[in-house]
Amino acid sequence: MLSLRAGFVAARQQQLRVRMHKAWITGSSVRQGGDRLRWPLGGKIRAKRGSGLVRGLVCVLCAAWILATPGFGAQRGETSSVNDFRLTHWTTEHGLPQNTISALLQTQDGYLWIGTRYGLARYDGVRFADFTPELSGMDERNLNVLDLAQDREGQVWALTGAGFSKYSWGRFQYVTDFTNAPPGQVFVLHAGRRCGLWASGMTNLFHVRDGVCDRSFTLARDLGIPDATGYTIDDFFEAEDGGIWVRTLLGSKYSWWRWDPASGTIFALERRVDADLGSVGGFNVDQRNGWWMAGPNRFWYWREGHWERHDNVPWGAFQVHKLVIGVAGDIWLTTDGPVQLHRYSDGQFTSFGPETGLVATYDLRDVLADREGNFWAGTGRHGLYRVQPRKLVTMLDEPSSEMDEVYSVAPGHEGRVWLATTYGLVKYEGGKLSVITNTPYPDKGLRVRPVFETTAGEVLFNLDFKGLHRLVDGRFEAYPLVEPMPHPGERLLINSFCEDVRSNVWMATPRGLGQLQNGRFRLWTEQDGLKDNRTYGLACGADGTVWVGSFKSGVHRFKDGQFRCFSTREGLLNKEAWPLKVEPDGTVWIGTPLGLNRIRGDEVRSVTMREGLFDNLAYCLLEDEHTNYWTFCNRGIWRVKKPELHAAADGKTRHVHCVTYGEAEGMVSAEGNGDQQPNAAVLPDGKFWFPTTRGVVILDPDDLRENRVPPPVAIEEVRANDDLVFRDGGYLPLHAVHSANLPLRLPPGHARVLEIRYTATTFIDSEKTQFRFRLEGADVDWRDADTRRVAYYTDLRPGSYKFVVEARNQHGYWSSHPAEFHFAVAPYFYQTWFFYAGCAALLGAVLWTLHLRRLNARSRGLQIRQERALIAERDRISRDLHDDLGSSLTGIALGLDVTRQNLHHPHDLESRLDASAESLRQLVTRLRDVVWSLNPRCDTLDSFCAYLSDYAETFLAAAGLHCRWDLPVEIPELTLNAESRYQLLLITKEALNNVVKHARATEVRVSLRLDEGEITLIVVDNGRGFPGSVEAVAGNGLRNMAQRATALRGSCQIDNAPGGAARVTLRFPRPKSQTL
Amino acid sequence: MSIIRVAIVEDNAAVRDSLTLVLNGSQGFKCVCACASAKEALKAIPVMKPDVVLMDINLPDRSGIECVRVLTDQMPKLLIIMLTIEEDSRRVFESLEAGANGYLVKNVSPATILASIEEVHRGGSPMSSQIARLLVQSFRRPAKATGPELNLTEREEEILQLISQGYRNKEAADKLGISPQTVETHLRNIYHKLHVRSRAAAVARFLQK
Repeated sequence: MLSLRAGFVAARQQQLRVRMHKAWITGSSVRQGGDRLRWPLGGKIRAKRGSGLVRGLVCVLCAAWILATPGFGAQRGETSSVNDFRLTHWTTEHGLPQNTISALLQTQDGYLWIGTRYGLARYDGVRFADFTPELSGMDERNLNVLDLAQDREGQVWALTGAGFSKYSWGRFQYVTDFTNAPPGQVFVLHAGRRCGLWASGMTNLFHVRDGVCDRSFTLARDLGIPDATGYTIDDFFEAEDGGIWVRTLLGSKYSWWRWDPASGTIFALERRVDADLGSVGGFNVDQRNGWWMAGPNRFWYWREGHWERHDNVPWGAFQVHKLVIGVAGDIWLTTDGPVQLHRYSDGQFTSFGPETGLVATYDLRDVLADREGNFWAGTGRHGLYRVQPRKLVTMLDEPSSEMDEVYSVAPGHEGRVWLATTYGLVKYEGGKLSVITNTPYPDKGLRVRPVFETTAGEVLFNLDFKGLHRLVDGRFEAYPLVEPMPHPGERLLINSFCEDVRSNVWMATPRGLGQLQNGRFRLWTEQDGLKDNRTYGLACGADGTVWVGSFKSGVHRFKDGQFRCFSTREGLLNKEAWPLKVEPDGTVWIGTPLGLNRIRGDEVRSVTMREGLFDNLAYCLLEDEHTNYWTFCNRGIWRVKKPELHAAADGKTRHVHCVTYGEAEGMVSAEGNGDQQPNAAVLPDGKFWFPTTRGVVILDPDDLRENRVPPPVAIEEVRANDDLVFRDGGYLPLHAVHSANLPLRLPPGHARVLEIRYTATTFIDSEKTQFRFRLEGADVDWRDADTRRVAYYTDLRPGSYKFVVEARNQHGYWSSHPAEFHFAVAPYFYQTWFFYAGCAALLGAVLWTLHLRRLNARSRGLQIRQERALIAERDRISRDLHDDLGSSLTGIALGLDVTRQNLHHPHDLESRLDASAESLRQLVTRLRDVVWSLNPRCDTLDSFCAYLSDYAETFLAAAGLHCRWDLPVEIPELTLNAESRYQLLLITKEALNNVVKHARATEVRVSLRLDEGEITLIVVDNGRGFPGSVEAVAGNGLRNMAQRATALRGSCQIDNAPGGAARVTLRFPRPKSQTL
Repeated sequence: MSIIRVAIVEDNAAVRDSLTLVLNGSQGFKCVCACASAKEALKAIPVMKPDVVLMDINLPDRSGIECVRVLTDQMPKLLIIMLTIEEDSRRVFESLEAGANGYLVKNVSPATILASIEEVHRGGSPMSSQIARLLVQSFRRPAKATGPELNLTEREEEILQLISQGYRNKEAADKLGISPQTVETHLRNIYHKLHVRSRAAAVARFLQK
C-alpha cells in the first residue's frame, strides 16, 4: 500500500486538501447525483464527483490509525481524509432509548453502555438492549443518566438524577448516598484505577470505597489559590500514576489541576508546563506520560519539558471540550464551531464536519474511543455516531462515470498495469493513470474488455464491436489476422486471453479457441473437437494444457490438439463454466454460477456455499504467500485457505471458513466485474487488483488491517419454558431452587424449551461474527451456529449440563475465553434412580410371587399325583392283604377247625397240622414279599437282586431245580421304586413259575446285565422250550408279563434260546443313580 | 455222637420257646440257655460256653451284630448262626464280618434249623450265592490296613465266584476238581479273613480316631 501511496502523494496532496471539505456523507435518506446508495442503516462516506475534466485520483486509504507514533514530527506522507472513515448513525429508531446521549462507557466485557437523559441501553454491535424499565426502579429521576462507570469488580454504576444505580448479576441496586460524602449533587463518575469510584460535584471531588467516602477534595479548601470563589469542577480523570487531573471552569475559562490524593499536593497545569495556555478545554495524558493540550487556536504536546506546538488548528478559535486518545494513539477532539469533531494522527488532522453527516448542534456530549479503533460520539439531540476506519484501498477515476467500470486488470512490463474500462484502455504507470486516447475511431468512449500484455510485450485487447486490437506505438490497431474470418468483414471478438509456457497466446472467442503463435493465428472450432464454439474463460497449465470454458458445454481440456470435454455429466455443477486456476500438479479449479468444481485427473469434485463458500460465484483464484486463495464475486472480495478448499472438495471437511471484504471494509461497490479474463491480477509487489463496477480495489494481503481483537463472548439470557432464569451472570430465582455454590438447578419439567441467548461484542462487522456452541451433557461436538445468537434445546433429560459458546470474528480470531453456563435439570420422581430401582424391585417381587405360585401349583399337582399314587398303592396293599393273606388265613383257620373236629382220627392229624404249618410258612413268605415291596429301604436294584436270589433259590430248590446266577459283582446304587421292584419281581416269579410248570428243565439261569441306559434281565432254562408258536403256549401269564414290562417302560420278549430252551428277556430303562 | 450245646438269643418269646422245644426235643441237641436280650446273652453265654449260638439279628437292646462282635472277641471259637426274619443280605453280611458263621431264615422247618446247626458245628460254612457275591465284592474293595494275607487267594476267589453263580459246595468242588472238604476249608478261611479284615478295619478306625 505504501508504495502506491508514495506515488500518489505528490500528485494528490493539493487535491486532497480541497476535497476534504467537498466530501459528504450519504445518509440513509439522502440521494446525491448518480450515486448508488445501498445502506438503509447508517451512512457511508463517498467521494464527491468533481466537475472538472482533469482526471485524477481519489485514493480512499485506510486510516493510519495503526501508526502509533504521536507528535508533530511524525510526518510520513500519510494522508488522511474523511473518506478513510465510515460513519454510522443510530437513533431511537434503531433502538436507542433516547437521542440525547449523556454518557458512553465500554465495559470490560466489551459492551457499549449508552446513558441518555431518559434511559439506559447496552449495545453489543448488533442489538441495543434496553435497560430503561429496570433502571427506573421506583424513581423516575433514575432514568436521567448523568454518567457511567465500571468499577474494578465489574459492576456498572450509573449516576442518575436520583443517585447511584449499580448493575451486576443481571440486577440493579440503588445507592442513594455514600457515608461521609460531601453534600451536593454529583455530576461526574469515574472508576478508580485501583478500587472504588471517583465522583465529583460542583466544588468537590471524592473517592468512595465500599460505600464509604475515604478521600475528598474541595476547591475552596485544597485549590491553593486565595480566592476559589466562582470556580467549579467541570471534569476530571485519574492518570496512570494515580494523580487526579481536574478541570475547573471559571467563567468560560478552563483550567487543569493535578491533585495527588496520596500527598494532598496540588499544582496547576499552566504552572507545571510554565506557559500561558489560555483556556485549555482538552487535556489528556498518553501512555508515555506526554501531555496533550488543546484549546482555541492551539494544539500542543508537552513531554519532559519538550514542546511540540500546533497553532494552526482546524477548529480555529473555538473551544475544545474533549480530548480522547484512541488505542492506536490517535487523538480525537470535540470542539465548538461548525465542525465539531476532529481527529489527529501522524501530523494530519481529519475533520468531520456537517457534510459527513455529523450534525453541528454544539452538542457532542460524550465521546469514547473503543478497543477496536472505533470512535463513538453521543450527541445531545441526534443520537449516537460511530466513526470507523476503513481497510481497503479503492482507486477510482473520478470525473467520468463511465470510467467507474473496470473490467480487466493486466499487469505488464516495467510496472505497467493495463486497465480495461468503460472509458477505454487505461494505463497505470509510475503512479499515474492515463487513458489511451489515440484511437482511429470517432467515438472515444469505446469499451475495452479484456486487455492482455504478452511476455513479448505486445498489448492485446478487445474493443467492443471492433474485435481484437493491439497497441502499436500508443495507437490502436486492428490485429491483422492471417486467417480470414468465416464471414467477410466479421471481427473476431475476444472474451479471454491467456498465454501458455510456449508463448502461445490463447484467446477464447465466440467463434472458437484462437491460438496466436509468432504472429500466426489459428482458430480451433467444433470441427477440431470443441463441443461449443462460444468459448469463454481460459487457463493455461504448466505442461502446456489449455483449459477452455464455454457457455453451454462445460470446460474443455485441450492438449496436443485433442479436446476433452467435462460437463455436467462428468460432475460439473453447471454447463456454463470457466477455468479459474491450474495448480502446478495439473489440478484445475473451475468456476460456475452454482459453485466451484475441481478437476484432478478425470475426477470432478465440487465445493459450494453449502460447504461455507461466501458465494457460489468466483471470478478468479489468486494465491497469496500464505496459501490463501483470493477471489471476488458480485458481493465482494473473499478469501479462503487453499488446503481447506481442497479438504472440502475431498469431502474431508464440511465447513470452509471465508474471510470477506465488502463495502464495510471500504469498497465503494462490492460488485466485481469478472466476466472477462484476465480480470483480477496479482502484481509483482504482491498486491491484488480487483476490477469492480466502481473502480479498482487494491489490496495488500500482507497489510490487511485485520481485526485481531478477540470478540468477548457472553451469555446474556437463559429462558426455561419462557421464564427468564439467568441474566448477565446472575440467576433469577423465579422457580429455581439454587444456592450460591451450585449451578442453576431447574425444577423437573422446566427444560422443555431452553433458550440461550448469547452475543459477542465487537463493533467491526458485528454481523459477520460467527458462533459455535456445545452443551456438554447433550452435544458430543461443537455445533456451528453461524451468525445466530440464540441456541435452543428442547426436552433435556435430567442431569448436569454446561453450555459453552465461542465466537469468531470476521477475520477468524476466536474469543479468548468461551462463555459458560452451568445448570442442572432436576428429574421428576419417576426419572430418579431410586424410582427405577423401586420399579425393578417391584417387578422382581411380582415375578418372584408368580414364580412361587407356579411352583406351588406344580408341587400341589405333584402332591395330588403322589396322593393318588399312594391311594392306588394302599388300594393294592389292602387288596393283596385281603385277597392273599385274608383268604389264606381263613383257609388255615378252617383247616385248623377241621383238624380239631377230627382229633379222633390221629392218622389225619399229623398231615393236617403239617399242611397248616406249611400254609402259614407260605403266608409268612407272602408277607415278606409284601413287606419287602413296601419297605423304602429296599428301593434299590441291589436289594432287588438279593431278594430275587433268595426267593429263586428257595423256590427252585423246592422244585428240585438248580439256579445259576450271572449277576455283576458290583451292582451300582440304582434307585428302583417300590412299584418297579414289585413288577420286576412278579415278572421274574412268573418266568420261574413257567419254568417250573412247563419247561421240564433242571437248571435255570438268571442273568442281569447293566448297560448304559438299559438294564436287561434274562431268565433262561435248559428245558424243552416252546413247541411251535410262543404265543399259543404262553397264554395269559406271558401276556401279563408283557403288560407289567410296559408299566416299567420296558419290554418283555419271550422266545426260544439257541439251545432250544425257553428264554424270557426283560429290558427296561436304567434308573438314575442314587446320589446319596 | 456228642450233644451239641446250643444257646438261643431271641427276643420273641414264642420263637424262643419253640426253638427251645425243638432243640430239646431233638436228639443230639441241647439248649443250654435261652436269652431274651443281648445284655442277658453277654452275661450268660460266656458262662454257659455253648457250642453254637442262634442269634437273632434284631434285638431290642443291642443289635445282634454288635453282640456277635463282643462274643467272638471273648470266645473266638464260638460258632454263631444268625437268625433273621427277612432276607437282608447286607445285615447278614455285616454279622458275618462281625464273626458269625452262618445264618438262618426263621421261616424254615425245624429240620432245616437242626441241619444247619449240625453243619456249622461240624465245621461247615453255609454260604448262599448272594453272600458269596458280597464277599467277592468286599474283598475286591481295597481295605485299609490289610496285609497281603488278608486278600483272597486265586482258588478262594474261584470258589466264591462259583458259589455266587449258584453252585453248591459239592458242585464247586467237582468243577474245580477238589474235594468238598477242601472247599469247606477254603470257605472257613474266607470267613476268617473276613473277620480279621473287619477287625483290622475297626482297629484302624479306632486308631484314626
